[in-house]
Amino acid sequence: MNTLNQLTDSLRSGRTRIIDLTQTLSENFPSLSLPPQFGQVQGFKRHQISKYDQAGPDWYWNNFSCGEHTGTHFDAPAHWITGRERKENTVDTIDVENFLTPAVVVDASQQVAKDSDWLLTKDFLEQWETRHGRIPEKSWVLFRTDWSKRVNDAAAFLSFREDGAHTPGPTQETVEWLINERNVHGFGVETINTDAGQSYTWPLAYPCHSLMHGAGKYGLQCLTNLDLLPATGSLIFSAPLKIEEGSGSPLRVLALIEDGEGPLSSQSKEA
Amino acid sequence: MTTGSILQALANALKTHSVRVIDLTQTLSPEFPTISLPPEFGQAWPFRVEEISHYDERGPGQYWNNFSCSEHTGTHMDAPAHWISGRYLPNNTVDTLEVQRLVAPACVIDCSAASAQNPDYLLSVDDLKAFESKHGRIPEGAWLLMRTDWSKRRDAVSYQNFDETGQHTPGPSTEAVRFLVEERNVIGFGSEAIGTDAGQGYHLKPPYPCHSLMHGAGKLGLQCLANLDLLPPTGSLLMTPPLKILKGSGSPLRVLALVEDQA
Repeated sequence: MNTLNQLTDSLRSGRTRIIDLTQTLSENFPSLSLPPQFGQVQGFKRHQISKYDQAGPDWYWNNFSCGEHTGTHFDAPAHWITGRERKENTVDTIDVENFLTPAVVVDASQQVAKDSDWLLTKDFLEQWETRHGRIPEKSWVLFRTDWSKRVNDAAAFLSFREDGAHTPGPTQETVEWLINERNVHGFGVETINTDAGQSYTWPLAYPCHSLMHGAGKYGLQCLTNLDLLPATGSLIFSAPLKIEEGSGSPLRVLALIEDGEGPLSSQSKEA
Repeated sequence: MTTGSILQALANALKTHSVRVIDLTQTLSPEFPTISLPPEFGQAWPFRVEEISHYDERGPGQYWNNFSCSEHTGTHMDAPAHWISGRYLPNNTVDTLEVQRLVAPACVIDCSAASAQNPDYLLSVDDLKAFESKHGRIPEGAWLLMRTDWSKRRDAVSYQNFDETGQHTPGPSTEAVRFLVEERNVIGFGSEAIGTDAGQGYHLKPPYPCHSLMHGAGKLGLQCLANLDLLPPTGSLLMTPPLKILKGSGSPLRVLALVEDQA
């Protein structure tokens, strides 16, 4: 039997499961706010067209507006000036094979619970590799911080003070190592920013944006449910909308994971 | 089979290109035609984009945009709540649909020749049975995708194909919809045109049967698909995750198909 038939059967039996890594897109979802001299990304806004009423007796639908970087979203290389001249650097031109890719999940939730400004170091990743094996080439590295659990409290989610946001992220050295030594696919986070909130003060500001996109890599932000994924072995479906020359896009991110041959799979096969 | 082997096999097959990914999505741009209703009804917004910054004084390091559209603009999914018949079904909006339903196999029935001759072509039960006698039974839980090559109509006027009697685009007959829902229990129906129903579907009984009967049965719709001519009649796997819009009736989305080369 071919691979796709096997996968279909495995999905049907419940042995391969789909986990939703997406936050709900609503008017309550916290959105980024930049210093006032810069252009601002819009939060999600909905405008009802009809709801089984005069404006449409048999149908319900809405118009909406938001930014390419609102809610759970994808960053394409063109989002950053360093990725400006790269080929296939917008969401409509990226080769679609890049939208289904293995992932590793690095759990720093305990560290981040104690320190909002916690930085992911190369050392931490090397220790992770001694437990889980080398990060495979072209994998997403998903940074689990449990930050997504703050989503119902916008102030805690944005974690903004007078000196800027206080959210975790990777050091510049870590980003360089992931690109040059591991050739990852991209970096995904639960916060609103792939970079640490305070990284704007560093010698190279926003290294995860600057270096990743400069190397043609991608970003995922505002992910959730990373605590439901295994450290290795998941496959991530992360296809942005096909926005013409889009710098990014809100999207639905799904993970495929495979359970062991337990009672669940045999039960659902008979059901 | 050992644990992890299927996903590992898929990852390897993607790497070696024995499984390929095909994009069934039209580019979302201001030029893409949007559904247009009689003027007494509320209207869906076309896609509009507004630049936030483009490596300039508004954001020296960044390029990004805000945008607006409707839940039914461009290549999009219809959830059961889009239609009154699906109003009270559980998990009937894009944020509550079970995610297991967002990956499903597809059957592609080629109606391109018939649609080229007759833009009002209605897919019949006979067409579906002829398809099955050649390619096997349409599996439960599969998408039925109607290939019409309508996606190749590059100008908005011929894509919409309106005249004084309304829109003229192909779709399924009422009987075909009933057969797919009741006899085959498909997951939904996908079309290259702007609606899952024929442009003249208002005159069918019930009006708009693909909306009314499919959504009433909790099934899904896909519209404005492209590249169906690149899919095999059976054996592809569709990934169709809509945005997770709170209580959304539908959503623009990226539809990708996985296709495996026969060894």
